Amino acid sequence: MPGMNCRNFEGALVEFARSGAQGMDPRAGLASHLEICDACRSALDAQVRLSAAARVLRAEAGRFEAPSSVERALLGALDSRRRSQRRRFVYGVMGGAIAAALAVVWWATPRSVPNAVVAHMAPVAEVAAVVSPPPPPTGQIVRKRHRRASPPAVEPEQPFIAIPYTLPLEPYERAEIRRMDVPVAALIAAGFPTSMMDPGAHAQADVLVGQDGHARAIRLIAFSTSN
Amino acid sequence: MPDLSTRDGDLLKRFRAGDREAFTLLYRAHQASVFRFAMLMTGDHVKATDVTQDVFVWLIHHAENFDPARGELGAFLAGVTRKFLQRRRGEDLRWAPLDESSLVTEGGAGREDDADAASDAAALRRAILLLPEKYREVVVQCDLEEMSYEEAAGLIGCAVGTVRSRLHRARTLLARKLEKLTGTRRERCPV
Repeated sequence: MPGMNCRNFEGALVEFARSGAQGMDPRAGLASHLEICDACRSALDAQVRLSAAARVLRAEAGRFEAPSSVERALLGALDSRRRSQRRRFVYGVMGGAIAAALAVVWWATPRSVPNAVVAHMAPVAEVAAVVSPPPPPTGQIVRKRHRRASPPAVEPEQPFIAIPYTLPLEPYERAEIRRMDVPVAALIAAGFPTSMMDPGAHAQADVLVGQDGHARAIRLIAFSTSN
Repeated sequence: MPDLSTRDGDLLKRFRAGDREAFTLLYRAHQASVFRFAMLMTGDHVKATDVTQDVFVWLIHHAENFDPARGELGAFLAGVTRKFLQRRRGEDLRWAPLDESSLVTEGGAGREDDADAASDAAALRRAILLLPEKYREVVVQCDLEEMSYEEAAGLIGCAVGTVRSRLHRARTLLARKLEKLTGTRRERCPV
């Protein structure tokens, strides 16, 4: 074929060697070129030989199998993965259950005494009777001047009384109870009606102090006079 | 009887649901082709074994990556094998470059012309390992695994014409290497 050289037939030679006569493209003119070119005939021989060797190699390779140890290792890996998944699942469930239990306990536990106390707070009006000791009979007053009178006891189980004009405790707010001596004058200033006339007297009381440090409620325990 | 892809799809579904036996069946159905491909590409039994194991371990962890609508599991695993081979080759290159001369000396110089095809096959196996990777994989896929040009192109991710031209080039190189390995000479093209 005019204008064609051996390089033009390289692809056709390979296809012919790979698939035999059906790989031959009649238009390529390979057959007529092979008749006149010893080099291409030699190249074709080499390709045919290569194809024969490839067939043998293919047959050999058809018997290739991965060693049985691979299957054992893979099944081991599979089991280990399953175990680890199961373990993760169990740990997850346990962790969730523990977290839920803790949440329930936290939620159910009263976070501060005041919540319960606030519920029992008595209105200010009821306080007067507690804060104001009953007026003693006249004779007793004389005696009282001569001996140190024992402080009038207040029932220990008295409820806390909200201090007027303070914000009530929020349900989530933490608070603490402090026992202290409160000047009667301070009680009067805070708006507690009291009949105790001695402004220097003190009242021993449990004071409910909120998170912000402010007193919110008070429970009187006992009075003491100044002299 | 269900066809191969349906069977593989069912097995894979069972495997994902936790069926160990399904994985065993999948492995037995595909291990030979994966191992063969790895063996022909590396020429090393140990490396081929490692790659086969890597491929199936990968399948254990990424079974959901296979979409039966996009092709067969065999082709999918061939693609995974190819990736692992590339990765391993990258690792190997850092340690021991292939010494072509040592392999050439293994060939029997002065070989008789009537030597059988089996020794040609042994020489061919060595010659394939000396090819650059892009040529080696088309020879393995098209000539040894008997894939069509289209299948090989799909696996490699290139055009069919590229596969064809690489194969032609690879076979020309192989013929020359075979000459060197077996000690035979052929006439050079004068044109």
